[in-house]
Amino acid sequence: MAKILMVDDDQDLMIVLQSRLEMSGHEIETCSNGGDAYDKITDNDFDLVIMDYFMPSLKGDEVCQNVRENPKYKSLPILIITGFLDRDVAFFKGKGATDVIYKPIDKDELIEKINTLVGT
Amino acid sequence: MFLHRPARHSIYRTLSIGLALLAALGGLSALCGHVFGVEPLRVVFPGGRSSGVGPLSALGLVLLGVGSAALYGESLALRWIGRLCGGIVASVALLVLQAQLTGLGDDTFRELLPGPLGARRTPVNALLNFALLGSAICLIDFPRREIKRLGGSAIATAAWISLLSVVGYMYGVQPMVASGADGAVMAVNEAVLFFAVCVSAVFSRPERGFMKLFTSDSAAGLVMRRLLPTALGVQFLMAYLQARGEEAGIFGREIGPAVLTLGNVAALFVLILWCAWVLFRIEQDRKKTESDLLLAEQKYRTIFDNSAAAITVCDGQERIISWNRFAEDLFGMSKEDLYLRPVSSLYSEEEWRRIRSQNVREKGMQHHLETRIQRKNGQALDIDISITVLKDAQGQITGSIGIIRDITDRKKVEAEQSRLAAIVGASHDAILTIDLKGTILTWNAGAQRIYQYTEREIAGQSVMLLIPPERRVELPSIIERASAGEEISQFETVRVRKDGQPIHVSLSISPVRGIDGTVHTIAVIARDITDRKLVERALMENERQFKSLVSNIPGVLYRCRCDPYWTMEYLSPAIERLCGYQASDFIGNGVRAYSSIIHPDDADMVDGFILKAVRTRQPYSIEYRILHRDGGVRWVYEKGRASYREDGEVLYRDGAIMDVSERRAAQEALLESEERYRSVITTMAEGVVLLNADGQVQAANASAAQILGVAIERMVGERFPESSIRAFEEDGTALDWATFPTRLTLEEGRPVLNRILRLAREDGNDQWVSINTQPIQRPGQTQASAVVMSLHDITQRKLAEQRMAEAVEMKSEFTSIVSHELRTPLSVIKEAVAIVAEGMAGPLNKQQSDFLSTAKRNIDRLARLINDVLDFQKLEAMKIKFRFEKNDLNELVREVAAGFELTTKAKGLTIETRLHAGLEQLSFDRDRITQVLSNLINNAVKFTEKGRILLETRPEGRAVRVCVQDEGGGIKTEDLNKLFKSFSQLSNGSRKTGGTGLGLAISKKIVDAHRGEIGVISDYGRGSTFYFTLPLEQAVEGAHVA
Repeated sequence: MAKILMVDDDQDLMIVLQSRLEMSGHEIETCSNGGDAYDKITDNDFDLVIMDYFMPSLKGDEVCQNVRENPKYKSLPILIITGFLDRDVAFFKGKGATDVIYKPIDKDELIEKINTLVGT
Repeated sequence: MFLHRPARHSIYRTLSIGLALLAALGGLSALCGHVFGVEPLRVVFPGGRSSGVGPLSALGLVLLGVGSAALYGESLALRWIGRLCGGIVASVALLVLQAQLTGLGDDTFRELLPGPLGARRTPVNALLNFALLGSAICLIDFPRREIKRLGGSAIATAAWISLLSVVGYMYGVQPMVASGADGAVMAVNEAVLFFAVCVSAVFSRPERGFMKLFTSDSAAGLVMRRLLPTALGVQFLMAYLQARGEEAGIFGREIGPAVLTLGNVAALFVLILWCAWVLFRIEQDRKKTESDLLLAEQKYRTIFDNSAAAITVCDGQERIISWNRFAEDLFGMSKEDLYLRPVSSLYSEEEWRRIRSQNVREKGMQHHLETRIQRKNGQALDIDISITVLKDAQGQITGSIGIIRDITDRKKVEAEQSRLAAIVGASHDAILTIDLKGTILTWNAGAQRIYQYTEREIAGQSVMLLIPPERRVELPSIIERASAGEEISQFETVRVRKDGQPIHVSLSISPVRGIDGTVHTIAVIARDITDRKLVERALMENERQFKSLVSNIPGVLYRCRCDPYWTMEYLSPAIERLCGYQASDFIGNGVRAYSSIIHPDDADMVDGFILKAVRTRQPYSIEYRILHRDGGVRWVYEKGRASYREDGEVLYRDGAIMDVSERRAAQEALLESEERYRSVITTMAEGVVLLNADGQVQAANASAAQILGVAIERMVGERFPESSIRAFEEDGTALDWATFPTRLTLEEGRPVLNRILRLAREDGNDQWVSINTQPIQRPGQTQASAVVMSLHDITQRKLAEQRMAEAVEMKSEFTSIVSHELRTPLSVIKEAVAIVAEGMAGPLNKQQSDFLSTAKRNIDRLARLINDVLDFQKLEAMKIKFRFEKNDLNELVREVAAGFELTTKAKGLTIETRLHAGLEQLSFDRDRITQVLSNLINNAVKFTEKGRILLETRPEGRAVRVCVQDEGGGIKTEDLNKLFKSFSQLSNGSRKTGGTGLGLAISKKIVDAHRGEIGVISDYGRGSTFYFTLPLEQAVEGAHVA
């Protein structure tokens, strides 16, 4: 199963998603703000990063850019969660994300996307 | 032919020199005989008593021969040699003769001579001959006639002496041969040689003296040449034969003379006969020649007399000796005047000198000159004269013949022609000639000045070039009239210059006739009357104005005394029309004074004004009111001046009074009208600015000043309003002032309506204006002479619009953020509920499970609601981009229908399609139309409990209609118009079906963006048919914001 970092300032959402994904057998690490996210990524060896787009301090796209600047993490899959339906996939891919999932989250769609990204 | 053989002097000259040389040779051979002792050379004719030529004689003969031969020479040196030889011979002969005659020193003299020369005595007759011939040779060439004759006589004497010796020898008469006592005789050959020298000397000048006769061509010469030698020769021969015959005893003394005479007679008869015949022939020839000559002369005389030219013949002294009748007429002189008249007297002194200076006589035989002679009456005559100079055989001028033609007329024509050419050249008028086809032949400087073409440019071109297109019809009739010989003068028309400017010209057209009398050329004189036309027009205008003034304004003339009553001395009758009283009323204040009808309010002013003018001796003009008989008031204009006596006292005033009431009324009306408009404009809320043709502000009202934020005084005279105002277009870009309405109107003469601009005023406030402009055009002009600009303040409207746009923007933003913020908790709830419902947090009973699924259903509904609100908001704020692409509508309907199959089946409904085959491809946004169709089907499914749902496509005009027909409950009529509004609630309480209430509103927005229609036909209780249409052609292909 995959080792996943989940970044979100909304603790509630993080808890329900963590429960759902751990039930699917994934190893979940959480991080509540964008500033710490980069350090966590570089300190560990994650298979996937699931990250909210709209966060205080450092926003999702900025974290993405920081990560992508490091050659080691050029191909690290990053799945962005957002409520902005008027921004399409191409917009987030342009910011460095690998894929995007819109709120409210459909659990089946989430699990399918994770499986695709971690290659299981 | 021998009759006419001319005596050739050359033959005689050759004979002369031959005989001279013969004598020289004879002398030389005799000399040689002496020197070398050769007898035959000395003697030549042996026997007899002659002992041959002596040495001295031989030398003398040589010298004489040389001398005679030298005489023949033409050069002076040769002649002097001849004279020298002759002189030496003569002097030596005289010396020897003197010595022999006196007997003194003869021997001494001979001894003086060298060697053999002195060996023998020379006979006296030989000495005499030497002396005669020597001096003759010496003298014969002298110019003086006497000396020449002396020489000739000497030759004749010498010839006689030598002939005596010859005859003596021939007839054997000793005493004739001997001379002197010592018996020295002249040798026979010596005598012959002497004779030869004589002949030679005579013939050396064949053209002179005695020889002239001998060598002449006349009958005398002929007789001399033929008869003399023959007659003398016959005598000699006969006498010789008789003497020799008697001596030999052939015939006796009696027979001899008879035979001789007979022979003489016969010979002479033949000779004379021949001579007579020759003379007869000569005479005949002469007569024939004379008659030929006469004939020729007559012929030439006739030509001479009847010649069309005057002919004069002059002698060598340039005197007139012959002339023809024409010459008399030409010179105006009679025969007496002309005969022997010096040619020079025909000319003026000056002209004669000019002719002389040309050396007419010295130049060749023919000469030709043009000159001028004076007739007898003093009149000058231009002539052309051909002179032939006559010369004789020696080249001496013997006369001249002049053939004279009167060229006065020609000269006049020439002078006239050059005068005409000068006039044409210098003329200010254009003078040109054209042929009958209108081709320009000649072109003067005036034409160049007027029409601006040079002759080179225009010659050969058609005159049409000068005629403006609308006048070209004139030309054929002009040419036709001129061809018929008609002169056209002062034809005023318009022509066009090279630069295209029209010019007014006055044309005079004259036909030019050829020798045959037909018109072949047309002369055109064009005078530029453009200036005159302008002046004429101005004058006409002036006159018209004056006339209308005079006819329209009744003028009254007056003369009055300069007193307070205006006592009239004269007043024209028109006063009656002016004031209703007769003129006679005022004369001498008979009935009333003029001062009494002046309006009381104006009287003082008028009196004061006129008094002042009279005092200052100025003319005056004044307007005032008078009282009409009908009680009305008239305005009059009076103009006049006073006349003064020499001492300065005022005599009277003269002037004219005119009715100007109408003008005053019009002026007042105008003022009133202007005032009215001015007040309207001043008080209106709309800003009004009047600009002149240069774009300068002429006037502006207070509103304009307020709107523009610039005081009226600052605006007036300025070029509006670039100096003080910055302007922007609606989209915020700075205004290009070239497109400012007043500029466009001034340039293009058309009004501009509703131009909206934002003005950044000097006070810092923004001012939105809508500008209208209207050109003011004078009649007949397209260019605006002024422009009126009205400014409508739309700032409030614009601000409201802006606030509205901002509100919409804010609403959209708000909705977007709210919907996003709602999603996060919704996600948490949804996920949490799902985890519990799945039993992951512990087992659930049935009731718990039911409640959780209700919660889950409402969570989904909430999510949809949020989505729809956001979607609708974006459509309303026009933030959605549509992707128009060609799509197959039927295929789309099939796909959407297929997507609903499960749902309908689950509900026990059937879904059918009825699609029109062969629909054109349409341009639409596939996703959005899918959304619309899904929405309609979804509604149909929701509100239909059983039955079928029919999907239909069909073309309808320039569009395609899509229908979704259900068999549900239908919609009440009163609800139909609420359907497509947002959050509409229908009366039957459809909320229970779980819709968001936005589906149809969103669908309407989408269809509207496709320029289609959406609607519903419903039969309450039976079902509804929702439909929408899509047009076949979209205005824009590709993406656009709806």
